[in-house]
Amino acid sequence: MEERIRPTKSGLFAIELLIAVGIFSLCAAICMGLFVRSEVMSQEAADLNRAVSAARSAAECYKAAGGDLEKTAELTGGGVLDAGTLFIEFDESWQPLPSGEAGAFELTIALDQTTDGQDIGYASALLEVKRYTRTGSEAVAEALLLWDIAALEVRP
Amino acid sequence: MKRGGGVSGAVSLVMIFCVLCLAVFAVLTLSTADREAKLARLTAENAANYYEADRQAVELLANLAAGRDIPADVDWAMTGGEEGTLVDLTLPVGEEQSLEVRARLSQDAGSWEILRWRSVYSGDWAADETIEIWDGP
Repeated sequence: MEERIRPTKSGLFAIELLIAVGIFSLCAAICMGLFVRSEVMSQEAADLNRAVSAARSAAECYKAAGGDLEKTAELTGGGVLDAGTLFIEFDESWQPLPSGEAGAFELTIALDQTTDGQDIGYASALLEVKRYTRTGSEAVAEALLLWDIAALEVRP
Repeated sequence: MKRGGGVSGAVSLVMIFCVLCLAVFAVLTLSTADREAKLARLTAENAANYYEADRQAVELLANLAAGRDIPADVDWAMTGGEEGTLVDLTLPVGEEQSLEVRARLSQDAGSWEILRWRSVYSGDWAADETIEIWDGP
């Protein structure tokens, strides 16, 4: 007569535990993916908010300075490195960096070269905020904001 | 419960509870992050619209001071006075806001004195009259 193996209760419990752990691991992996995605989205939203805040501040300083980049640099920090371009660098937590240092975010105000030197009564410029992703010596730039701004020239 | 065994189904119940909790929290976190991202994009778009209108206003004032032509589709008015010429401009900022500018052009130097530079809500609105408010004895 053939001998039949009857499953014990502890054996069934072990199988149930194994299946439960497997399903839980699968679901936990999917949920962790969602958590990571949420964190990335949240960080991007925070960066965009900080970029808008920094850009507004710089634009108002530019307007208050009557389109003079040197005066704008005195108000906002940063420096006029290229001719007609103001650079302000920020680190990953949006703290301003000393002039000339490469940061994770860069705000530039570039004077409109097409109207530069002409007496049109106002100064036009392009304000741009970029995020830099650095891998080794390479840096990939991604534009966060791009605004056309203008300031009435202050006459003495 | 027998020695060496386990409560049949208890593990599955605990697992289902944990998975449900994880799934609910993950979806809530994702929806919050999505709303944050949408709000940030909306704020950025609104700021970009404001500075576009701001740039147009500056350009128009400079053109007026220099006596250059103003585009026909711009809502503006000019009134002369003893203290100088008053100019009122209204420019759209997105769909539901507009930028109101009032400036005075001084007659001697040709420079502007800004009297008003503000963004106002210009969309439709309806007063809520459903709540009964006590208006005194």
